[in-house]
Amino acid sequence: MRLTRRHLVGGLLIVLLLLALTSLGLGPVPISPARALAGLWGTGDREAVLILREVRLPRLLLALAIGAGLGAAGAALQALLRNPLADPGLTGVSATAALGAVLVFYLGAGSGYALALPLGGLAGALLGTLCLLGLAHRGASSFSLILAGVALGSLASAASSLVLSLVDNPYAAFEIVFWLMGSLADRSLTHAALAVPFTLAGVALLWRAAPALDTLALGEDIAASLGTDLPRLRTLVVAGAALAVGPGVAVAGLIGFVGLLVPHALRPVVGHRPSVLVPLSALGGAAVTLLADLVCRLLPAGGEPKLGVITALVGAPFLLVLLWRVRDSGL
Amino acid sequence: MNGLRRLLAALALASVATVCAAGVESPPQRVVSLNLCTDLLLLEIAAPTQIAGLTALARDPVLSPYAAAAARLPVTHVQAEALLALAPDLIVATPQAAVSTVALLRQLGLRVELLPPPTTVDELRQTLRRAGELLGQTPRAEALIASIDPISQAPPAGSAWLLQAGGHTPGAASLGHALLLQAGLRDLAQHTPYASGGFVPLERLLSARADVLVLSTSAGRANSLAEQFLAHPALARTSARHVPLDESLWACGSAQFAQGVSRLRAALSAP
Repeated sequence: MRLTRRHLVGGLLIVLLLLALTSLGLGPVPISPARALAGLWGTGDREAVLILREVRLPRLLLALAIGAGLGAAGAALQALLRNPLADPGLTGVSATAALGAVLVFYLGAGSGYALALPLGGLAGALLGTLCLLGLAHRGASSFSLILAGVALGSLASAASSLVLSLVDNPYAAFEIVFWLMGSLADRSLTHAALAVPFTLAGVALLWRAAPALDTLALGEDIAASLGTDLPRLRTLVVAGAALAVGPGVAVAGLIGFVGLLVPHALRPVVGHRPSVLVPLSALGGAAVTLLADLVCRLLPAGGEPKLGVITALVGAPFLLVLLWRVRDSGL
Repeated sequence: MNGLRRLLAALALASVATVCAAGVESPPQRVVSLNLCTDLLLLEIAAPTQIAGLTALARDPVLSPYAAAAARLPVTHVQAEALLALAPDLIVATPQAAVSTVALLRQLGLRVELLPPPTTVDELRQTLRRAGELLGQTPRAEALIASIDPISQAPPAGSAWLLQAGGHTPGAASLGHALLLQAGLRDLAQHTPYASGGFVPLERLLSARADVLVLSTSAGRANSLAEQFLAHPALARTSARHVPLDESLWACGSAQFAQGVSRLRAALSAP
């Protein structure tokens, strides 16, 4: 049977549903499926209601939204910059988002104003994306763009670590690893409410921009002659990517490789057209992030490993294979 | 370089000479502490004139209950050069603090006494007594020891988690555990994987029905993820009673422990 797009969407949705149910059913406290369902519905015993609704549900919602944001942003940035390696992690956008969030959170600029945290992440992501776009616009080659992204990411990560070391709080220095590696452990519904709407708005923007990105595959001149409003398209993608990545990083730290891995894994199946790839990468990103989060929780470690550790463990070898192939195809 | 080495050697010799001249019997007059916990012991037991150097942490009102007193006393950096310049006749530290500095100071002939942080009330009494002997202030130390009540006095007050930032519980071998017992509370960390200390997952906290959550924080600060953990909305929705308790009352093992016990008891008996 030939794998069609409809099969793929159906399959991804079923996988997502199964992963979501597993995610709600598993945790350090064993809860039977029936009790968990009642707890989620709000009719169960107090303990099950609390654990399901206040601990496991926000974690699930954040994994889905953040993963979707990273997947969609990866696919859209790769199309806009016409660079197969342009993922939010590798290009430093996630790191600048983390820096924005770190500055707001630890320097107390946003204390008493809950929205300051996601807005800090958003501002950081916007700044990072604009830097990239500026470089691309000056005609930087694929590889110099990625190098610049690596430099930008290292700079932002180093600045975050420096701020965390200098902050007058003994715990801050230990939290460097959270911001650099990401985690969804013990995030609350408040965090979900702060990040999920922004992230979904970003995914929606990118989805809307995706059909215009299709024409860009032929080159900017041809795209323009086909009637694509390039400045507007750039603005849409930059704003969409920043929205899809920044607020998520602000509540869950930097989760790498999802935006790189997912579009590349899907391309052989659904082809290169961004109009198809962007929404599917959102679904795929959600599935990969949720799966990675499940692995974090299931590993029999004393303290649970950070989410970014798992995505990097899978993503980095994938990147190596990719670079190997890029060399062969002479890109 | 050579000059510096000579200077260091001369300083060390001078200090050794002071120690020898002072003899073993007379109490030390220039005591330096290398760690917040030993800072607190000095501030409680030593005469202010005996203190030649504390760490800067002793002046931090969040961490130190005696910040005001420490502000009038000299502070120093925990670096061998700075310490040698103070020409101390006794240096006190905890065994974990500044290990390489301590080794160097000892090599240079300075007297360093290590006071391990107490993990039980008995050990706390021993630590206070030993500090009193080292400083020649035995009557002060004995007065502090007398202020710590015997364990049997508290009426049972239910079960409790003692939680520090990030959901860490200190475990049975800690003064925190002793503090719960002294206040009549049963430590829920016992008979769990966290009996010897560790980070308790939020779900575990919600499922083990606690009567009381003792939230041991550094007062008035929440700008870290670890400290924010204790403000997780799910914790606020449990039926457990929340009792905030300043961490500096028990974390170090000073006579502040007695304060901690009486504050916890007062909070528990309040309606």
